[in-house]
Amino acid sequence: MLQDKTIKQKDYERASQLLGRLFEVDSDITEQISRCIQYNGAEAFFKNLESFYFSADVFEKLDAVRLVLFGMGEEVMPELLTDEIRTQIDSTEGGAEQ
Amino acid sequence: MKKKYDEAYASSFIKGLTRLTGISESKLKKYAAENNLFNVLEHPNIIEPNKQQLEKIHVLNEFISTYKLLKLQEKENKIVLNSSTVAGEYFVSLLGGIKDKEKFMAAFLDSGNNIIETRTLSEGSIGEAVVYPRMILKAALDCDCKSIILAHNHPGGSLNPSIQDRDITEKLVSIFAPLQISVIDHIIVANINYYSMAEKGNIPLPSPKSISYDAVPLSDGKIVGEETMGFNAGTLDKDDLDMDSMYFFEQDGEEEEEWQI
Repeated sequence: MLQDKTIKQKDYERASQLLGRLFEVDSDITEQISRCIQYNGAEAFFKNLESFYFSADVFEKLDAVRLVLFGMGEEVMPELLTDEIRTQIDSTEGGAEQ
Repeated sequence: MKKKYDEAYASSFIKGLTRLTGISESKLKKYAAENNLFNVLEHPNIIEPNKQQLEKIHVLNEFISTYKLLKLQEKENKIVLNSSTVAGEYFVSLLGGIKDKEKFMAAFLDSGNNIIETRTLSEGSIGEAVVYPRMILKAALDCDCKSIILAHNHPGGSLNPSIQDRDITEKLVSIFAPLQISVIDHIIVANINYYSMAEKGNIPLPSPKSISYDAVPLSDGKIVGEETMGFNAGTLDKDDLDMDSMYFFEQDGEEEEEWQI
């Protein structure tokens, strides 16, 4: 899904540049991130992180950002992972009650 | 059950932050045991990070603000600032991460409170920015807006409006009132918090005496208490205006000449 062009290009670029600074990676990686965010949207980018071709190192860092966002209550985890977390909590809770 | 979910969120947050900044999990867990974990982003010095870790937290904060802004833009593809809360959060997303300079912005809105355009109108040093009313006036007329929300950040962290913040608001309210353009709020952003003058009932009424196009320096140093601000809270009442003494711009033609104030 290509996001509407009226969403400012510079905001996507800013987001990816900040990630580039955070990860200390080259500009080609930053550009790749920028393209992926623009084509998918910010939330869907993190939800579909596994579907992009990032190196293991970059993926790990993007996943770390996703964990922070998830911790802050953002819906950035794929359904599968969210269900997994819920199941783990529910089973722990159930076990404690017994 | 809720506690378990909270723990899962906190655990994710800690894992992610550790991977990104190198701050140890045990340090974060120790802090989280007795405090609100998210203070770490808002007031990173409380966990005594080294210089590099502190820089990473600042960049992460900026990214989170940008992420929220993008999400907001993508959601409806237009942003409606229909309450001080939405306006506050919107400007926190734009100004929240800025620690090294004072930045003055304005959102120009249509009759449905949709943003026509948001512009940065001044960028200054850490404690001061100079605002030019003429520049704001020109931007407002260019986009044919119906109302304006002003915003700037206080890099020093204070949420209280300064004397200059009050002055510029009063000046701009007074400049725009005869043009039927309302200055509906002035948001002050400090860290990831905001202060809304409208929410506090502190948007001044227009006063012909306040009309001046001189540049106004903003500073977060000289703070005024709310009780001494002297704002006339309330809505605009045209009867309160001495309209004859105000300067009216022509709607059509010879616009360039009208800028010679």
